[in-house]
Amino acid sequence: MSVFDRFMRLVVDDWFVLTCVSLSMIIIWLGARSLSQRERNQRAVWDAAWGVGISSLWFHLIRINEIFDRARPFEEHTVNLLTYMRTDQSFPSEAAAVGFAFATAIWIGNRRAGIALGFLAFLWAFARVYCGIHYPSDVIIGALIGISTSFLMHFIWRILKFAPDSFIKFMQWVHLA
Amino acid sequence: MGTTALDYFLLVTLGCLGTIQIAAASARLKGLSFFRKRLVGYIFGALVAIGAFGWFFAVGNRNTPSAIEGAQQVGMFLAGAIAAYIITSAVSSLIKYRLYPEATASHCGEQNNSGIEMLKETTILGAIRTILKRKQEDQ
Repeated sequence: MSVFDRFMRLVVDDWFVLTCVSLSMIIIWLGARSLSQRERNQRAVWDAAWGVGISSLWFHLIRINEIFDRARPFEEHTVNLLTYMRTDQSFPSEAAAVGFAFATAIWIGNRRAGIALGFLAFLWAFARVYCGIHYPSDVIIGALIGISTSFLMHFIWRILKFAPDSFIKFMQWVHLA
Repeated sequence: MGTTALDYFLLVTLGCLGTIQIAAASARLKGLSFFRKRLVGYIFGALVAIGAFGWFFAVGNRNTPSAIEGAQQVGMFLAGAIAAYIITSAVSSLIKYRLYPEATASHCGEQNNSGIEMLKETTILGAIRTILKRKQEDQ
């Protein structure tokens, strides 16, 4: 197996990118130098948590994958499968939705961090196609679901401002924000 | 709890320990940092986080059907993050208390806001003492 294949195998699994992105939330939450930037970052992390949560809900509660019922590429074509065989449906990609939901919510509050997370999300989505478990259209639609859900949550929390305000105040009270 | 779940909890706790040190160095939160020099904080944080990833992926093949569900993974991440924050607070308070007792004095951080902004000047222990002192004065 080539070095690039090994790298893609690392990126495609259920742990690596998700843990990297989650850890970066801690740096974004705590790491800003100015008070105003920290407040923007913390709101972005709040939006990201909701964006990811609601994006996942589309898949687990409404089960959009079952509506479309598309088979995985390795089931229909001869592919160089680099990871284990997923048993659920292919369309759309939940991983792409989650990755891009994180990146979009953070991008709204912090452009540089958002772009870095967007790169990670792209890498994760690319690896899913490269390793033979998704079609490109699966990850493109998954990414659109994540992006639109994060924007939707951002606008909802702008209207219901008291909720993130109260949460951040509580976190300040326990010295976590 | 299975081995994979326990390994993941360890990965997250160590990863969070490292990232908190990086964040503390970046935001100049002396009360959370183990070190006086920011550069040492960055290097230590990066080594701990990268080391944790290296260990997690070297110990076994993680490219298998997940032993823990998504919701469980989120729960373990939060638990690991809280554990790392408690360890960081305790260790940094202890280090500062032993080496720089002035950093945990109750007067430190008095002029600042609440929350982690206080940790730019004092440790968690110092912040708690400041809050208790303020409450006593209010009464």
